[in-house]
Amino acid sequence: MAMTSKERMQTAMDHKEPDKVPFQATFVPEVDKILRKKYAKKIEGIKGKTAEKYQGMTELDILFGHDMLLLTYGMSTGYYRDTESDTYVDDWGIKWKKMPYNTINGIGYYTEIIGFPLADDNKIDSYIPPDPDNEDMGYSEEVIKNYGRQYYICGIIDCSIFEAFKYLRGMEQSMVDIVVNKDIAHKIMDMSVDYHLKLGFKLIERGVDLLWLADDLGGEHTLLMSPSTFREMVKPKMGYMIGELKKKNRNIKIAFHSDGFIEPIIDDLIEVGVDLLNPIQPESMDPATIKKKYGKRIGMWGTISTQQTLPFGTAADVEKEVAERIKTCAPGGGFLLAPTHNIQLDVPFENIEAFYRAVEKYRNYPLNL
Amino acid sequence: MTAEEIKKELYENVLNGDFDLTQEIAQKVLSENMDPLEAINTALVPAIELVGEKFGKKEYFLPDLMRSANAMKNALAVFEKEIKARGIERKSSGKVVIGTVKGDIHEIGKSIVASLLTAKGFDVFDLGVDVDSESFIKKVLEEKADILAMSALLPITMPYQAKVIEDLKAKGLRTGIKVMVGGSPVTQEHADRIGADGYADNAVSAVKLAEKLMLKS
Repeated sequence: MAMTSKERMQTAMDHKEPDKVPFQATFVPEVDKILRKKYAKKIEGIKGKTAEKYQGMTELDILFGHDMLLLTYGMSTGYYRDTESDTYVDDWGIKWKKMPYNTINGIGYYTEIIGFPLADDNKIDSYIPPDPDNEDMGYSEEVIKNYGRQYYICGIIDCSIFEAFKYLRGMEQSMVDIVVNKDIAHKIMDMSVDYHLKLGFKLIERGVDLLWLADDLGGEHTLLMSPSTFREMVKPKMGYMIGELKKKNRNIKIAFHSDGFIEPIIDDLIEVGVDLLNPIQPESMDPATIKKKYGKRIGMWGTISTQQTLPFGTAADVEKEVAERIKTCAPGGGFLLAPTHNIQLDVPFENIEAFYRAVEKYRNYPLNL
Repeated sequence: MTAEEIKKELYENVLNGDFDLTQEIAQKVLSENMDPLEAINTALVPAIELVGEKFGKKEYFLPDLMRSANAMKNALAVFEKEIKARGIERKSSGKVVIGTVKGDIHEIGKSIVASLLTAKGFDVFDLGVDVDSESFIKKVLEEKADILAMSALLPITMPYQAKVIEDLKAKGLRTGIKVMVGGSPVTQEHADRIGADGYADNAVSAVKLAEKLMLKS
């Protein structure tokens, strides 16, 4: 009998093979808009997005059959705000600028940070972070009420530790602080841990299945900081956070996102209780190798290249990559197939279609590849 | 302290990235009547080269590289001021105009390349981030630059590196300048495809590339 998306994900998270390989995808707001317009008729009547601030599940997730729905909270709600002005300041005092770019599908915007509220040492002691109690939990309650029985629900509390520090203090300064001004680094990172942990508790109370923590710790081919700096400065905070979340509900699963190359610390991530690793960027780490070395101890989520194959490959390249990843990463479960990031505006529409066609073609267990 | 000891102190200071103390040590070098040029060449450059080597071997990581680069910059500022005051010329390794291309405000990688180039004696004109083609070309002409170095950290800003090269061609300036490109999504294939003269995947190899390109020019 066919499984619900939720059962499919639960089985995969238990490192067993469900009926099909679970999958999902997300889009940058511009692609989301284009697709929602294109499929306007088909999504009519589907319960979807109501709150603009909280990126996350939309009607498209349901239409496309994604197995997991996302609920975005925390610092990353600062991304991609749809404002009139080309700069805005979020609840943390972070100043964002919309940077336009041109693609085959029109003009899009990335939001980049141009003002760091804690760049100045003197601002740190008097800084008051936003209050997690001010977050609108109604959005997650609504999604969980509508979809929580059928779908696997992932609450996002990303920019959890080091990422928040970078955004508040500045990219360059935070890199220096993490090895030189450790007191400052601890102070700011702990503030973010407190905030995101409280949000995590709220999301657990609402009934999410998975919580997604994130800190970009990888460059393209090397860690951003040494493994020993990570172990000294960041890992204990991750361990604390995950420990508290699992204490709150021992069935809660934890996903961790870091772009880039992070292989030297995957064992550390497993040790502190990460269940699912995202996104395993194939430009940085070979997914098949990661599966072989770590796949029994940690699940894998992602692996389809949004940096090369989806934007620059052909539809045939996309199909080949999906087939290859299912072949090498799906055996034994523990695998959630997805693009390695939001599908970007420079991705040709044929490639988006090719992605979905290929998933449908190859996702059945037992695998036939 | 002997001159050798002070030089060693400066070398180790850069190697360890204790940048709060660097200026003081650099001043000590000068107060001992040591030649600032010699201090640059025999302490700063070898130290930062070793830092680069360690970075390449993954013994050092970005924070280590940055604190060493900061230390080096602090010392360099002291020495360059003195060099100017004494009216001596530091032999230039070449003129480089550098920046992150339009639409992209990622700074760190580009700035590290700029610092290392400066340490190796290049005259570096850092235009910052989000730099448009006109500004690159204007500066190249103004400074009669030998090398144009462009960084792009996003797949969607990579094509702008090609645009600048096309604009240089359209203005008949392409043959007079070497173009190097970098940034994490940038590859050798991309560099070849857009007709750049060189690509480097990290700051240390970027300096080596710049030195190689100067030999060719």
